[in-house]
Order: sequence, then structure tokens, then C-alpha cells
Amino acid sequence: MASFIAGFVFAVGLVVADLTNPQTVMDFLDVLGDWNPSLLFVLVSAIITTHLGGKVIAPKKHNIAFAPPEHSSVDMKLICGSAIFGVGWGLAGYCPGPAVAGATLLQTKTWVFIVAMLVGMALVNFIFRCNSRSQSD
Amino acid sequence: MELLSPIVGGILIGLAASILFHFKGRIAGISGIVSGLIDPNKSGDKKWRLLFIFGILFGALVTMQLMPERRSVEIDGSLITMVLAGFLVGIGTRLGGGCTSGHGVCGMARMSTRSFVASVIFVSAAMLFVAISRHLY
Repeated sequence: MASFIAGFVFAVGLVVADLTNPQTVMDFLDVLGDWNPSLLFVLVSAIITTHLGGKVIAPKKHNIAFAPPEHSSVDMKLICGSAIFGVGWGLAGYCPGPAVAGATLLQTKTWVFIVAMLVGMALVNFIFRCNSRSQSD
Repeated sequence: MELLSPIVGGILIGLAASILFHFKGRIAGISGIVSGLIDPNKSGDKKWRLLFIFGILFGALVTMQLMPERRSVEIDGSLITMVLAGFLVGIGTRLGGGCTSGHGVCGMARMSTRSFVASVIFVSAAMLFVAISRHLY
């Protein structure tokens, strides 16, 4: 139930901030055009709230295992992956969260984006699985 | 530019991340949550992911009913652009281990070096790509 509520509140935030509109995102990314900094305000207020939220409510006292991201250092995978993601983001103005929330508008282009995204994710997951299998042999 | 909706939207996104972290001990990274759904290695771990995604869909539907102006979304890119963009976003977020929510919001809130590097790279790559595609071509 907590996951559902978290997803719900997350989507309310995305829609209120107008991130479900790729045009708003593109106007933020277009620094040489008529720059719209609104996404900067979204990011900063989200980061501050999450930071405070993490301080006020420590999951340790509820005995829930915190699942931290597995890797700990900056490597080529992180750098290349983020650059590839950035180009995809700049191409359509969609990142994963707004695309999923925007899917409710039932536009073909949004769904095409999501399916292609799932294919890309599955491809990388598959390659990682093959790699870890060949390393353990 | 209006300031209220980006700031309120950001606070809600941060609140959602705090709820997920507090009750589930999880990071609200949408690319990670979605890709875990199609990863056969994470078969025992799908329920909270599904609930979170349902929460996003339901939250977006309800909010767009209350804010009908958010329903008018015009997507510029062609179908082929959406395929390419989605594919790059899928590959990039898996390689880089996160997207705007996981690295940009949660990672930065935890003051993770990796997330800081990833965020600077994907925002720069996206801005550079938009600058080239909109203004130099």
C-alpha cells in the first residue's frame, strides 16, 4: 500500500509540475532558445524535500533493509550510460517517470516510447546476465 | 514563468521518494523500478514495483481530471524519433544505473558522488543535443 501511495503522490507531483508535457521539458533543455527554468525549481525543491525526508525518517528504526544502489564508484558505464540517456531525453523530452505518467493520456507516441524503452532495458539486462554467466564459468 | 506549480510539484515528488524510502527502504528511481519488472532475476521482488507503477498511473489520471489544462499535450517528435528516444533512454538508464528520479532527485538528495556525476552528464548531454538539433541544424 505504501508503494501505491508513493507512486500516486509522485505522479501528482509530475503533473502539477507539468513534467508530463515533453514541451515543458524541451523548453528547459533548450538553453539557446526561450529558456524555461521551471524544471530547475522542480529538481531543487524535490532534492531538498527528499534530503529532509531522509533525515527526519530513518528507515533503520523500522527494521527495513535499505537497498542502496550496488555500485559505489564513478566508472565508464555510469558516464556512457548517462550520456546515452541524456541524448534520448533531449530527443523526445521524455524521461521514464513522465513517460509512464503520460501514458494515461493514451497517445500512441508515448506508448511507442515506453515499449522502445523496455526493449532497451531488456537488452542491457540480457547482456549483463550473459556477462555475469561467462565470468562465473 | 509561474513559480508555484514547479515548487509544489517538486515537494510532492520529494514526499513520494521519502514515503517509498521510509516504508519500503527503496530508492524512487523510476527506470530501476520499471526495469526490475522485466528482469527475470528479480522475480520475488515485483509486487511493490507494480503497486508503485499503478500508483503513478492512477495519480496521473486523477490529477489530470482536476487540472484539465494538463491534458493538452502535443508531442513534436515523429514515431521514429520516439522509438529511438525510448531505446536510448532504456539503454542509457540501465547502463548508468538511474534516471532523473533515481540519480537526479534521490541520489543528489543522498549526496552521492555517482549520482552527481550522472546528473551533470545527462543534463549536459540533453542540453547539448537540443542545442545542436534545434539551433545548429
